[in-house]
Amino acid sequence: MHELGAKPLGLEDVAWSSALVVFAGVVSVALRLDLERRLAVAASRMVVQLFAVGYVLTYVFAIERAWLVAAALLGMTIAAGRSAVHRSQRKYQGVQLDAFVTLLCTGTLTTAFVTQGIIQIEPWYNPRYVIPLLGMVFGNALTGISLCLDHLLESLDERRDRIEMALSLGATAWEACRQPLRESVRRGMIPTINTMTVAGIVSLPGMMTGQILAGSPPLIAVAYQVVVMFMLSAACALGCMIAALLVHRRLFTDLHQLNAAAIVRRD
Amino acid sequence: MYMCAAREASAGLVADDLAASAGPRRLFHGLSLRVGAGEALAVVGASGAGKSTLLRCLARLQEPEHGRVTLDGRSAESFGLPTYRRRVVYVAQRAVMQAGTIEENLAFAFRFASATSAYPREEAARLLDALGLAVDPATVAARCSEGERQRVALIRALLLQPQILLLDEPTSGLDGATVTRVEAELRARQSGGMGLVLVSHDPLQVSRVATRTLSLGVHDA
Repeated sequence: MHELGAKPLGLEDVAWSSALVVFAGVVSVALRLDLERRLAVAASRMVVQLFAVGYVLTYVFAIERAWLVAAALLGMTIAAGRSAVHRSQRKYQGVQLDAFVTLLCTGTLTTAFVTQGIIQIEPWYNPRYVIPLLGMVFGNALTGISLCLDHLLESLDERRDRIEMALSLGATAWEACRQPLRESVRRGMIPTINTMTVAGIVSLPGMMTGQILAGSPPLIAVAYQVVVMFMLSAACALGCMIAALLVHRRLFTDLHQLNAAAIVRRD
Repeated sequence: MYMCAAREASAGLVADDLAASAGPRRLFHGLSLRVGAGEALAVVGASGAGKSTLLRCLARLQEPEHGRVTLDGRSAESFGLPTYRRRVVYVAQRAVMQAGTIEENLAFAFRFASATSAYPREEAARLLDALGLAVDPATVAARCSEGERQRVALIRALLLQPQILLLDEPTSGLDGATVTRVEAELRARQSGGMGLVLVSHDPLQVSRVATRTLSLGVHDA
């Protein structure tokens, strides 16, 4: 065994493991699934993307400068914001900025709470902790936020008659859209709650598996995983709430009018 | 362009020099009107002339491109929009129901922060009877017919005791006898001081209900 516990894998090992994805391709050919081309492209992309990230992280870890870590975090936030918006069926002018602000607030608050308050890393920007933790926050918050956005925009678009009926009877903008807002945040949070519910039963969570493979005692890996799951649930709740509030702010005027025309369906 | 009030008084609902468009098509411009206590203004015109848009502008659910709407000389902003909309109540052509029963729909507006009184259950029962709605208030509103939903929407608005009621074709799905009941209730309210702006395609209804008529034309792009 390696001194950290995990056996280091070389390119040769990775090349051998590609036999597994080749097997998946053979299944596709044999059953005429017509997936072999997509499988090859996806596998190649994944290898290139992950090795690129690996080289970037190696560089960032080696330099260990606050500005470099901050630049990496900003890049991650921008990429995550774009991804959250592109998953939604509807959009409005400014949705990209709103998604960025949402992820920036969510990522900063939850990651800072865990790295500074719980793990107490030194220095505060230690990239070995900050980057993977923020990556996990974004990976989960993205799903929640895009579900929340999608549902909220669909509700405001398709239930505009009902919302305007409430407004015409004296509801504030907040009262008129409270139900869609609540449903959207709820919808965004459900995947994270489901993941927590089955963690350790259906599958071992990725971070915990990684730590055990790297040689950590299982209970330490479990403690980290629990902290991470709590962090992800908070990130998802916070992200969905901020996203919903920003949508509310964009699509309702100060005069308690719904600007449903601002919602555009993607082609 | 249109002037429906000879009086200068600012009492009641006053629209001054309104303009609105639908995309590139101009609906109306230079439109001024006044509806005082007990008056009923019928808005008539071809489909697409902007009648519903006018009512939405009066309710301040949408902003006109130009012009100003006041109630008793005050802007909607000075009342606060929710309070203004409880005094100038708009009922859309398509009766939209909240999820829940008829009674929950009737009590809906009394849950809002702008409500100043409790849900008047007895008045609701009287109106259900007066408008010929012989259904159990515990019936799920979504299961009601279009005509029943129209009357629920009208009662929901009347329960707010509006100073001005904006109705967009309120009787289009109703039979003759029920239309008579609805018009009788509207007349009773007018006698009590309520102003009415009524969009209708029925000339006979206009002649029965309205004290004045505003005709909107269709403008080219």
